[in-house]
Amino acid sequence: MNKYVGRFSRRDFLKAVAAVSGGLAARPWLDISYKALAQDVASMPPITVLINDSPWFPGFAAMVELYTETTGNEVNLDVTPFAGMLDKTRNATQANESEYDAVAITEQNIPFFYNSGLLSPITDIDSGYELDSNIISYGDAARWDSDLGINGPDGTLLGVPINGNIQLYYYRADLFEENGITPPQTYDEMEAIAEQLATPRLFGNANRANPIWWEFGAYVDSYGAPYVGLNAETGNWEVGFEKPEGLEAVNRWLTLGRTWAPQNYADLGQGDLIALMSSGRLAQVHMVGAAAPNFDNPESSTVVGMMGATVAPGLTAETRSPRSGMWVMSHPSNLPLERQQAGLEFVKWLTTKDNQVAYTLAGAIPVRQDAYEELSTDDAVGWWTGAFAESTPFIKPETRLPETPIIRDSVSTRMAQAYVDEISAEEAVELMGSEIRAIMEDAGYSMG
Amino acid sequence: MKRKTYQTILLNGMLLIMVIMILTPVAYIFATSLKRTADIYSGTLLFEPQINNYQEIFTGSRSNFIELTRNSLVVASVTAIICGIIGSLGAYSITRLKWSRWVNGGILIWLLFVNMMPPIVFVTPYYLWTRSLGIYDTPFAVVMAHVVLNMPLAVIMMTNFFAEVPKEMEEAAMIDGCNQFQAFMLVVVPMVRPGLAAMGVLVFVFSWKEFLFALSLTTTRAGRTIPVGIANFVQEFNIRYGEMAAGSFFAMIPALILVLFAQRHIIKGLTVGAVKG
Amino acid sequence: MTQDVLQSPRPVADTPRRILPNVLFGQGSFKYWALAPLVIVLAVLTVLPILQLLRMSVSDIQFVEGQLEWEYVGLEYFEDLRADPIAMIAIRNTLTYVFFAVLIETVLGFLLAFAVSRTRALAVLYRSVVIIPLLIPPVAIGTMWSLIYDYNYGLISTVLFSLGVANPPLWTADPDLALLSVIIVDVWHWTSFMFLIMLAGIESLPVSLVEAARVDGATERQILQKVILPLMAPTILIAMMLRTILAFKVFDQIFVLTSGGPGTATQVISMHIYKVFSEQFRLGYASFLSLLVTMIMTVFVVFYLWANSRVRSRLS
Repeated sequence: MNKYVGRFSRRDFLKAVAAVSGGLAARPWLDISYKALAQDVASMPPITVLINDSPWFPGFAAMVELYTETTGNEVNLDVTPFAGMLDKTRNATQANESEYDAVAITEQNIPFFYNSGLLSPITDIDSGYELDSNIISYGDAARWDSDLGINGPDGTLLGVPINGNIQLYYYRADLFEENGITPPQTYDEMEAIAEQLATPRLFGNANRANPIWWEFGAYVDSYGAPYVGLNAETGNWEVGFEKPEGLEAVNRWLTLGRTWAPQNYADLGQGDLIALMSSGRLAQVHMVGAAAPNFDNPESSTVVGMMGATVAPGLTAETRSPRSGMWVMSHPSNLPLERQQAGLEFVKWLTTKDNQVAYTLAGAIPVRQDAYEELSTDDAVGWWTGAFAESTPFIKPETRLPETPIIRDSVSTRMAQAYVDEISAEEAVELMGSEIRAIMEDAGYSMG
Repeated sequence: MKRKTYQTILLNGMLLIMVIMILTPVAYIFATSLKRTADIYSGTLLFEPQINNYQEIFTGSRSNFIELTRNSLVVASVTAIICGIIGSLGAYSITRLKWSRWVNGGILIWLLFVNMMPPIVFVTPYYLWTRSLGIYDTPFAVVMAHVVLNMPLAVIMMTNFFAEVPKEMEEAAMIDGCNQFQAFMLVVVPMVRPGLAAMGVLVFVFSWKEFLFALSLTTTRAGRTIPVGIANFVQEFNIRYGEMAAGSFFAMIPALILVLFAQRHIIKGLTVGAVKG
Repeated sequence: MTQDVLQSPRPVADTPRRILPNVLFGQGSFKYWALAPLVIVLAVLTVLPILQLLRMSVSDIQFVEGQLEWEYVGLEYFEDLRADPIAMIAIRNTLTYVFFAVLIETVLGFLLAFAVSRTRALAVLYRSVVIIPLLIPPVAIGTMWSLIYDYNYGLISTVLFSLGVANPPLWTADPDLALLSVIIVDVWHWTSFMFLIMLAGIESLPVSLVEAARVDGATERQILQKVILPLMAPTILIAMMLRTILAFKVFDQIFVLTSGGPGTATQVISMHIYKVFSEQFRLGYASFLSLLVTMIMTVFVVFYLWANSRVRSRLS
């Protein structure tokens, strides 16, 4: 019997299991491939996986159930609050022997763990393993180039993507249709739509304020002023806020974030944005893609069936730059090989195409382009899986450096101050520019 | 007489206002626990109560709230008892038993220092120690950490209450033939019962609500406590308000009963034992 | 003097051979037995982590190839402090927060404790109600209060909207009100802490003194001012000291409620230390900040201890 530790909704879980089996019934070919696939999976000792509780967790848990059922391999889950994931992973990888055979690592912690040498290269566990070309790259999130100290296509394979969360643009399809509006591709169009649809009972747009970093990253990237970027020609690192476009990106964010937003715009977190959208008080929002299944849940949402989604807008249609906020699964290096192999076997099983389709139907966010494309016509999840599929070529992940958390501190602080006029936009840009430059120089990067 | 009635009314009026101020948010938590998420998002004051959130946290083989509550009660009670014993003995020894200034000053300063440290300092060492001792993921591991975290509070509170006890009481007892331990148990402890009870309650409370160590030193339902279960409702980008409210409200009840029972029990001897100076 | 005689009938500094049995089994041995468990707990479980912290505060620590590497850097972290965009703001906010929260909680806690000690009816109700806020995990307290404060769907604005108020306060979204909002939650949460200690203090007071004053015709107010307050002063100061240290460490509650915003209005230092320690994994700088905050707390603690010794010497 598998055992689960943390709290997650049983109702969601049952729904997820039902969705998986329902999906199987509706797609007989899938059922067959499961059985075929199960035979490919070697019999393995029980494993323990560190995973966080989240809206996509029930989908993950349903797949774990299915894995055990079809292969007989047992999986225990340590379901940990999101806030505790980093410390728990760090502790486990420092002990004599890790308690976990596989750990889920969120994108923003990738640089630390990849750079630390605490994880085993996947090819040391299974020398024949290759990342399937249908698994989306997310800026080479699976690989670490230790010479450059960033993710790179030639780097060592240290993790396998298991959750493909990115940013999406959500809108109220019913209102858009009513008013003859087509979904926007640029910030200008977003502003026009906000102006057109805003009423005292409906907010035209809202941005996440707690913290201002991830979504704002899509703005600076679209303006060509990323927080930091490597200039391929000179080999130097550059700071986006030192370019004039940096200030333009800030001003655009402030306008879209404040003008048509609820009065408490300075205190909005992702949960608030979901609440505003779910209760029908928000016309459009640029937000986390993994929230999509929330809007289809009649328990919490009054806009079921009224939602649409597409690629998050940019300065121009071509420069749209949604960021990813995905997860990889890795195996600590302080484990005997058999345990790493048992962990990897599960990850391999989870990332096959058919299983990724089932994973999606169960409420999780897949990592394969073919899974997204196949589901983009699905009645239930097609409205958002289609938007994910469409976003893939535009995805622009953050430059993942070990120093990124310090840079994040500077950006989120200064932007928060500018958001409530504690300092001006110009001052914020000035401060972010000089602070980021200092952080990079201190860490020894060559700066232009 | 008239003034007294007036004062009683004033007094109870003030206390009732306090009761209302404390209970309004609690009532709100209870109301939230009966709401659908859609009702929480719309902010409506009128809603159709439903018990789904409670069903979520209790029913089914995968639910672990009962175990978390049990673990929390065990951890908090054992921590309170250990801190109570070690803390009172230690506090009594340093306040009353003629240690040099260096000894009692040194211990008090060290305790304050421990208390002022951000607890995260202890997390990694304790994780590694409990793993190698084989008590990782048991309530013992959490108790160990909580005893350390709460020892400063226990000792410092008790030094204060022991200092209030008149010296003559012990001296008289010892002239009557008690040894020091007997004088402590039979004369001093009964006189500090209210303080002891307050200390015990506070240590219980701090252990009950502690999150960081409860998270770091456990991994399964064998060791996890309520705050970890509650924190799981704060997710990567969403908060499960209804279940969190239900969990918090439910978990409070057994703890409250236990605390009131223990408090009564500790204080009861007060009027019997105390020979007030 | 009498106690000394009782404790050690023989001169202690006799010979080393005789001291040990005396410590273990002699008549005065209780002194040692009583202290031993405390000393053992502290020695075994706190010394190493704290020494490690001191060492970390002057070191740079990195993972290289899966191993922790330490490098001595001396006082370099003063430079990091100068470059830190949040630390000083957070320390200032923390001081404001601590000052007002502790002050309000002390006054309210004392008044409530005094009131409850004067009443017989409903005393059980009051005692149980007071404990309730302490039994809710801080994460849940932060979350539930964020629902109460929320402008769009929170309790306060819903009530005010329905009463016809057009622009209810923004609470945690208003830079001018945010710190106050957070302090209100703290007062709701922690006044009970002060109450419990002070009630225990009042209950431990010699009943005869109060009775004597009453017989002498003193009013309740005079009893409070002339008898109870002076006798309670040491307890009040100790409670304030403990609460001050706790308030410096406030974390989950604010993290969930505002995450430090809007702007930097509710950034507090413990939140920042956690971020530096955990997210940024700058163990050295985080330890340095911890020691810095400990020094600031020490100023408060020394004040309380000094005041305590003054009131005690006046009492005796």
